[in-house]
Amino acid sequence: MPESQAEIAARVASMPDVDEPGKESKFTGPEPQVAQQVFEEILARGQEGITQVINLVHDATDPDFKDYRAQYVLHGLAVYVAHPDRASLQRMLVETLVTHLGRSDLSRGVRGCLIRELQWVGGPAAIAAIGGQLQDEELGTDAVSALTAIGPSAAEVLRKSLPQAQGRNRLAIIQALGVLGDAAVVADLKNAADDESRDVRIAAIWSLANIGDAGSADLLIKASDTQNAWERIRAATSCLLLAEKLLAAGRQADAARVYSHLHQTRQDPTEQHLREAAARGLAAAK
Amino acid sequence: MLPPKKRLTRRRFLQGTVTAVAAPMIVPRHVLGRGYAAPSDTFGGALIGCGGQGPGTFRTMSQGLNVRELARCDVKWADRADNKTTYTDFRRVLERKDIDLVAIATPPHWHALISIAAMEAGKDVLCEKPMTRFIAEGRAVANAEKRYGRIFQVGTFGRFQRSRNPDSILKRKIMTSGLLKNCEAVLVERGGFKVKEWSGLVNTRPQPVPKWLDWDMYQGPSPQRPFHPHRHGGTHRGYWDYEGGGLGDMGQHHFDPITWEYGLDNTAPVEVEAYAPPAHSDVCGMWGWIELKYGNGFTLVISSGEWGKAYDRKQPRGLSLNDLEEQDRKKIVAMPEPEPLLSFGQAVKSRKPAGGNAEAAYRTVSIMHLANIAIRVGRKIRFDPVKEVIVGDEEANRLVNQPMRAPWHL
Repeated sequence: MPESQAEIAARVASMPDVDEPGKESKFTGPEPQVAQQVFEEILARGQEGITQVINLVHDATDPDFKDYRAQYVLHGLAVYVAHPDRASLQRMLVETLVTHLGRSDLSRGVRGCLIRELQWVGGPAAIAAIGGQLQDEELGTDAVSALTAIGPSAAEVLRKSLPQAQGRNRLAIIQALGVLGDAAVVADLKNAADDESRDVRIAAIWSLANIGDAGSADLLIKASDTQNAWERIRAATSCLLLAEKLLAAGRQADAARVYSHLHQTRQDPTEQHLREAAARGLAAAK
Repeated sequence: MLPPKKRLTRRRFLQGTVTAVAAPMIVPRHVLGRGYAAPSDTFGGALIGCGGQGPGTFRTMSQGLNVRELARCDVKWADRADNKTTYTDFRRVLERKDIDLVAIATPPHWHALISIAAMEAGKDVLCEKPMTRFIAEGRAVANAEKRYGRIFQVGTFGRFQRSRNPDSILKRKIMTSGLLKNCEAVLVERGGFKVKEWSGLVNTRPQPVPKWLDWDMYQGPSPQRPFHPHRHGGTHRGYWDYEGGGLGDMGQHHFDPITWEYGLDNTAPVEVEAYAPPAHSDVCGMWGWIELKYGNGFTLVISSGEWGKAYDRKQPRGLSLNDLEEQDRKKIVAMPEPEPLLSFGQAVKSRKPAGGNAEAAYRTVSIMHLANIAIRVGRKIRFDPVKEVIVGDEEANRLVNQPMRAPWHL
């Protein structure tokens, strides 16, 4: 083993043993200043030091998995460099994680670990690499979460991956674009509002509402007329959300139209709370 | 019989204008419409989350009310739910028009979403502590409570007892009067946080999902992970994906009386620092102490007594009339007593906020979340209690509002 690799391995091994060695066990981490010294020694070796740590990370199902230490140190590095005063170290770590995320020889478990670290510390520089995992059956939803955490700058890669996405990943992307408020995806969302999957329909409607698209008001009003119980509840929520967004944007008339429809159609005693919410909205829209 | 659409106000009821309730008659509330609550009302109740705590939560919800248990829901009934009285999917429960009240005793990662969904469906909610898994969930629950005019009560009740204590009432008056220019009180909460007890396991290997468990539904909004029995059934507390360790389990009990007593129901700490080992990415572990400072000067210190050197930065310091000028002391004494806190049952009947309503509960649980964030990032954080974001630390701020796994979202 090269000297640098052995030294890094020794740093990782210096983390405390678990309470019950050889078993699934609780553990107690080191004093913060002891850990900080380990992180600084690893980071002093640049990307090579970080790479050595990554190479020690194994999925729990992997025969080479030893214990928690390598993943714990990798996460510790991510948290350490995320300090506002350590921007250059953060760039170095992110660049290294991104490089390794593209490796085909890494197990899904380890790639998942890298994605989750990028959810902590990744930024625009990590978007493309994470985006490359969006179609993976197991890692896709982790990738969506990481991109959502990075923020609106990740919307484009999510939007571009939507046409090929399937199943749970497609649902996750539709929802994420709503969370991020991506107005450029409105047309796709309107198409999805008619999907055969109820979850996709609900997600699309909600995403249009959260984006605050005034042009979707009629679509949401129509969706709110469904007699499917759960979908009806969710559609009403989306209508109220859209109306609130429209009010905030100064579009009183559009908001009033949505509120008015809810007020007129929620006549069942068990929907009184929605009628009342719509009435309050109508009053605010005047 | 009162027309279904007409709201019955408390005053009209007391004036005896409603002859329908003169004769003893049990009429399910959903028939008459919500907003009407006569003493003979029977409420349809549901319990979502039927582990060890569940039955107790349902009983608490039912205190002072006539509640019929109509539905139970738990993801551990994947092989035997009949979808008539037993369910694995809470959405089927909330669709039911005969359910008025929902008791939620799931693990915390589901608390906010089910509370919000229940209120969207017109139900009132008693939800176990901790109210939420991360900060933004609390604001979403408070918004839903307001938007839908529902009753929400979190499952901790220490503030009720505290609100009847004369010394506590005095402190609250001092803190809410606006007369105290800078609060120098330092409150140190020592022990009782079950830190080691609720730590998670490392070196675990995935195991087959039991047939009786809907693992996908159990995980819900939390990240997809391989199944391990320690992630379920009480020991879930040891994982950031579902709770927040012993601080998550016990924090709301400890802090809720404090937020009432010190008048902190509408704000949050502005500066938080923790002394702890570096945190594991998935597993909740040990910590020593956390120091939380409020904008008004009040300092809260949480000391586990289970790890590291003892807290020694500040000495405990109380709060009394001596902290005020003479003329202001008289004003405090003359202030009216705080309004009594309403129980869940009283709130349901009166339609006034419960003592542990969503806004108050959110501000309490935020203490716990900010403490855990400080532990997880290993550095001092600053929080803006008005904008409800961590300031100047993008990575720490990502823990304030965490992505959820579709189809679940705030």
